[in-house]
Amino acid sequence: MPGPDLLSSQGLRLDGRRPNELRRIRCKLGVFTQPDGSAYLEQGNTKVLAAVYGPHQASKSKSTTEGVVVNCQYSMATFSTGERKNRPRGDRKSQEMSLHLRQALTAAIKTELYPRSQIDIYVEVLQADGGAYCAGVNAASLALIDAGIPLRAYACACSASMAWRNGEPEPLLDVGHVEEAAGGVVLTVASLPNTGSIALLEMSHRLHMDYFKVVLSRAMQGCRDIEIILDKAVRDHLAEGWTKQDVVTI
Amino acid sequence: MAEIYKLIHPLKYFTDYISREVRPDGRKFDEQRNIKLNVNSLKTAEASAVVKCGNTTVVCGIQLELATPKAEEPDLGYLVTNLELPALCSPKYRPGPPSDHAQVTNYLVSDIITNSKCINLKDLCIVPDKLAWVLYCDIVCLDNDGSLVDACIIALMASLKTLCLPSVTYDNDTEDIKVNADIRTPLKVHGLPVATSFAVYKLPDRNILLTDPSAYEEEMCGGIGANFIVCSNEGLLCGTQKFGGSNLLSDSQEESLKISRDRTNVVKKVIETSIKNDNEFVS
Amino acid sequence: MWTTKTFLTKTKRGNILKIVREHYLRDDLLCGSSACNICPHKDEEYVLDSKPDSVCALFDYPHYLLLDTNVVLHQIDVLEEDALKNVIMLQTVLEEVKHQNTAIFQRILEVINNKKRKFYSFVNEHHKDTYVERNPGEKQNDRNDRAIRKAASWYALHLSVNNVAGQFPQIVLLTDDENNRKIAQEEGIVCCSVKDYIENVNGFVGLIDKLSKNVIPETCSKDALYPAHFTPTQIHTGIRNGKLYQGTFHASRDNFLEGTVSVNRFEKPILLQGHIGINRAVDGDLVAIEVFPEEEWRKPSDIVLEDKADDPGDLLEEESALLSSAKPLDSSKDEITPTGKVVGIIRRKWRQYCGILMPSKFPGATRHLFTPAEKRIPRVRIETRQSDVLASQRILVALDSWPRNSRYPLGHFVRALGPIGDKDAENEVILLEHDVPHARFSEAVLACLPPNDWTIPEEEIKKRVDLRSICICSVDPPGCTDIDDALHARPIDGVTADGLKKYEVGVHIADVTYFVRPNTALDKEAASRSTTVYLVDRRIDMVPDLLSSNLCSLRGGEERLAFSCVWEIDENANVLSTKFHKSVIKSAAAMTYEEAQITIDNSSRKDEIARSLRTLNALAKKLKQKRLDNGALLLASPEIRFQVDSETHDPVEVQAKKIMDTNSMVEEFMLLANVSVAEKLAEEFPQCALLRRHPSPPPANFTTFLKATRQQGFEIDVSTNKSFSKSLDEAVLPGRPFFNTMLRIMATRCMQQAVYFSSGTLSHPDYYHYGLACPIYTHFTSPIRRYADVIVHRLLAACIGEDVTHASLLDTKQADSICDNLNYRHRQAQYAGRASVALNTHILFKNRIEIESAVVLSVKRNALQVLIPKYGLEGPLYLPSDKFTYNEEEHYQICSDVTLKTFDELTVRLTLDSTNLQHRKLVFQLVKPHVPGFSYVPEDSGMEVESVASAEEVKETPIKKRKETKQSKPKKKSKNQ
Repeated sequence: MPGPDLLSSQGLRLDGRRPNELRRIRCKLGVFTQPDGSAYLEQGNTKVLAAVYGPHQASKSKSTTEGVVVNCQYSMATFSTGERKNRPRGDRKSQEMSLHLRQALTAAIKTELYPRSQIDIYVEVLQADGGAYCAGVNAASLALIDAGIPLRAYACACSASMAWRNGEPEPLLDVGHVEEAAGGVVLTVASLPNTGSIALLEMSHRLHMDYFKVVLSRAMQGCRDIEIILDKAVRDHLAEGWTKQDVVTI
Repeated sequence: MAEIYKLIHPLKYFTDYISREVRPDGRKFDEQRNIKLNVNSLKTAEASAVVKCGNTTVVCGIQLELATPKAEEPDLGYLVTNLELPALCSPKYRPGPPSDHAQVTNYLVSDIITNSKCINLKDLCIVPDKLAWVLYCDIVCLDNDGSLVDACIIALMASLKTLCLPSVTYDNDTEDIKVNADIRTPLKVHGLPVATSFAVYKLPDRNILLTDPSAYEEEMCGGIGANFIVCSNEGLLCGTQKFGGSNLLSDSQEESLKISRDRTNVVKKVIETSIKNDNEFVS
Repeated sequence: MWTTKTFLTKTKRGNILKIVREHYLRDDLLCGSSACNICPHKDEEYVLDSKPDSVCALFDYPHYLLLDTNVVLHQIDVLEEDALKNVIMLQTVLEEVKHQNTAIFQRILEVINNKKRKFYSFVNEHHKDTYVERNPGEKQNDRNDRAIRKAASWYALHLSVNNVAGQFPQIVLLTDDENNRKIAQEEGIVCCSVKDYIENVNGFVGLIDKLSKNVIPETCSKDALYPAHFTPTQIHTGIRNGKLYQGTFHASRDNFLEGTVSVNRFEKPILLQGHIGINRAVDGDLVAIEVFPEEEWRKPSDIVLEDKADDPGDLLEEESALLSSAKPLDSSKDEITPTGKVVGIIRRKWRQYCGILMPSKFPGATRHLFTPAEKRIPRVRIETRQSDVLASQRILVALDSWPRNSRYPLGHFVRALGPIGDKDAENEVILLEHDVPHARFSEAVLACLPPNDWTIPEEEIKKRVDLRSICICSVDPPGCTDIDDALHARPIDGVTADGLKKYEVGVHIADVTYFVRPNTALDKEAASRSTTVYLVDRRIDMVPDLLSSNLCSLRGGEERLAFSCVWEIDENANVLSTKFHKSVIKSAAAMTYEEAQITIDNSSRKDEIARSLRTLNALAKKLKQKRLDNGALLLASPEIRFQVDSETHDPVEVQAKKIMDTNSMVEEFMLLANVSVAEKLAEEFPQCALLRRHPSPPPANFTTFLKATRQQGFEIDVSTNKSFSKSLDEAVLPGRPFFNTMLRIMATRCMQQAVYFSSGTLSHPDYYHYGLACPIYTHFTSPIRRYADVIVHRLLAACIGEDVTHASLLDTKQADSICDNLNYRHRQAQYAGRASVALNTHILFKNRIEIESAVVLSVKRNALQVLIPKYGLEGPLYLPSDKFTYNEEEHYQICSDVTLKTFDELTVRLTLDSTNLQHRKLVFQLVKPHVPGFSYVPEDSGMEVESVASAEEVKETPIKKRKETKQSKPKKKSKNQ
């Protein structure tokens, strides 16, 4: 059974969380001046930056009349993991992540508003401790809002895994690196919790069909919890912004 | 109004400011931006620093590896510096392989560190011909708002100053390597190289020296690589650079050296207090 | 629901890998005490009493106990007693215990889960007020001790808040660490050593006996008898730089001062001799050894040494005398073995040992010696005040430690099993020594059972193929109540392309998985037991009796659920098609092998059962021939049945099992079913099918066997199983009908064990079953008594869509761990079965002396290993070295004109030697061929004959001659003579 030890007999996980708890999330919008929108997000020890440039005119080859072209790049700083990474981007995993980011974020953006345009979204992982993709989606969501790009809903991503407690299956929310490494299944869901739709589903390892539903619903619950946190961050940021602007006008 | 003016007559807009002895962001010509520094904020790196010079934000992380020294230099360790300019730090950069500018800046940073002799590579050797430390110093620029090299050097030096090497014992018979993370010795850092960038703006009658230029100012003064960079370590120059752009006058050179000396003291203070505080990292 | 707690990061460093971990501290963890009025407990979350009764005279006020790690590790037997209640188990402690000893961790979890015990596990490591950070330079142990103290003071404070003074329980910290106690006292924590606490507990007799002995540190050299063991670091470096070796210590059965350790570097196992050489290693321990320089190497001694019967106190006797014979006298090269000594113990593999108490000679003494039943385990010193009672009992003892100043390891009494010689107690010993789970089924397991009067529900019948109208019958040994297979055969219309008649043959297996659903308590228990264990007079069921002997058992005339495998077979026994389905059957008759044989042979019987059996029998013979043609081996092992007295359950007679055609008939179809299922499963589940394989034996296994057959004039070809089978068939001695069987018995012993495995762990060619000569095999036909079959049933049901799969079934890793357990339990069950046979043989021969024909199985330096075919009994016949000369090269013994070699037939006299209660053994004496002055002469009363000689006498000295006292009538000699 993969990772029967992920849950103690008292029902706590290795880092002291309960199965249905997220890691601590801290985030901030508008951290940089160069991009049109930026955000910094910490999910436990996973720390990511997201920057949004655009919408601007799309290069000719990419341009479509259908809507905006979303261009994503996911990269991990060489010092983001315990063992030094040789290539921060361009390797298979980063390319795959870039693609997944694009899929999840395209679903959230009202793409039809900007034909023949392009939005660049860059996600930089400064420190990875599991769930870097999820943190990336959440940060990008905030950066898009900071850039003032109209969204259908918050795009939130969360992972869930599976553990056993006293022989009963118990899904774990927001999987950390230690839990990921324990070899269990990791189900990553990117969704628009507001609309209830799932933008992306990805699963590593094998999971029996019987458990899929519970793991998925736990991950969806996580997305809804994250949405609340993101929403609060946006509101706080806006309130702060208004006061600043007032000072400037006076 | 001002924004539109800036867009329509960029040069005139800028010149208007300069001719009134003030820079568009309100600084005096020889005034530098605020430096914010934070050390050890990244847990996965052995030592790290985040520095903000104005809006220019740079992260540096140092990671350690063990390796065998080169045969021709058996008692030297390795110090590898690498600068990343990802597309996210500036609208000017495109995703893809590193641009020429990024590579040039990267070499510049490496050269400054090597020439300043602030790290004696012999200190990184554990057993000659057998084992030595490799210090991977990776610098990532998160927001490029000018004077990139200055920020890089500050981040790198702050990281190096906080780096403590674990003790390593090497058994000659078994080639067994034991790393004891509990016993650490701080890395010896000789002096503190500080780089100061200047932009040279050519007014019809004279050349103006702008200390610590922002990205906008750099662009107005000739664009990429036109900065005049002075770098000194404990009073010894370890690199000056000026590629293209407006010409430099010898009297302004003297002025620049003076400014850079003052700046060294400021940076030193910032690094010292930051290490002392080693407070929580807020980006 | 989501709350952020105070946050801390912990960093850990490996080589040069930086590992970062989060550690959340919480404020919603409960203290579990009913006296608490701060924590928001729900009713069921109170574990600890508000006013716990004190059982200890030292602390006559209500208190909770808090234990440190070593207390749990060393005193688990005390904790398992019901005496101590209201105990707080800290997470720090639990994690350390888990890290150091998983077995004890499991046991303490059992205790915690027992609601009556009131053990509360408190997650102090994640509680915001009890977490402590490791100080720089602080040792992990010291940090943990500090965490424990911190939790103790927190509890004291926590309970005192909002409580009237004196109205709340105090905290008592139990620890044997003096230093820790000192600091705790300074911090105002009440603490006490375990010994002081337990000795003052009232009302629990025998609790003190369970107290583990104090551990004297290895560094203490006072009165040391043994050299100190190396520290783990020293051992580690030693092994790394090649100066030391590690291996499992195997004690010699015959000589308590000798043992071996197998090390990769050396071909032969390393010999360890003497108290100092063995240095407190116990059989099974993982030890570090140092190998002596070559000039100090010796050869293994060939003497039998048993530890002295009386307690010499803490002295090591002069060993030189005992070991003198071990010195290389003739220095014959190939006998010299690398020799070394134990320098440290890497891991103890101690378990609990059965044995008997040897009470001290001094009345009223509390220190006694304990002799384990397993010969390879040294005697153990235990303390008990109940020696009078225990002296006549079989008891269970746990080992605690073996300090340097004690000749014997120290242990403590765990429990009594029953009077010595009592059948139940002896059976208990067999079960415990072989690790057979045999406790009564728990309530949780029994709750999974259907009601006693369960009948097949109508809708279940509808789902299944109804075979109730078909004439199905079962054939089993007499007295079998767990019938798991039944058969049928009937001709069907049409002919094959070659014009052959067609038959439908069905094998119907009890549908155990209908009742044993995955992941229920019943399933877990069955998985843990893995197999039903058959002792001579007792059966330890894998599933409760209601299932094994009733609802699952395919009894005659009753409707039962079955899993059927049905073939179309032509008259040459070629399988035309195979199908599997769940079914309902009604067995027409449950027959014994004998009844079935009679039915077949009785040509006047023309009923459906007889016709069906005859078809089956004819087809089986063809199937068997095919198998043999493929190279299947017909192996033999001596199997016997005891006839048991119906009242005393003592064996009254023994007979070899009779083999009839019908045995083979059932066997053939079971094999066919197993193979068919295996093929289907491997195709459907390439990663997780549970299969059984039998690896080909390595050629080295055959060396002795081939030498022996050559002496008898046969050249056996062992290159492949086919050639092996063929040459075995040809090796027949006309005058000796038993010779061929003998050969097969010996051949069996050269084989490897067949094992279960999961198809994902091996590549396809390795699936081969050597003995059956088939490329793939599994077990499908006995789900009532084997758990492997239960898994196979589930997999097959999933294959054919009759049942859903579940996650754990399809997990290769888990399948692999199930296989490991299955293989272990099967081996143990086999050994337990043999031990039970031996026990019963001893009972049978208690009052009996017999003269029987025997065959030499192998020739040893000082003995012959002989087999009595009639009883399937095997044992050593010792030969004195002054009469017999041993030829090492050719393995035979000579005494003047008598030569004894392997496969020779002899006549021997059998008696039981009961001088040693623990190790009663059968003694074999040579009768024929006659060796003057050695052989036993039955009838002539005037001659001097040898009496029963104990093993020691045989080996060390020429046999003493005594006048025989017992008058025994020799029994009829067997025909072979």
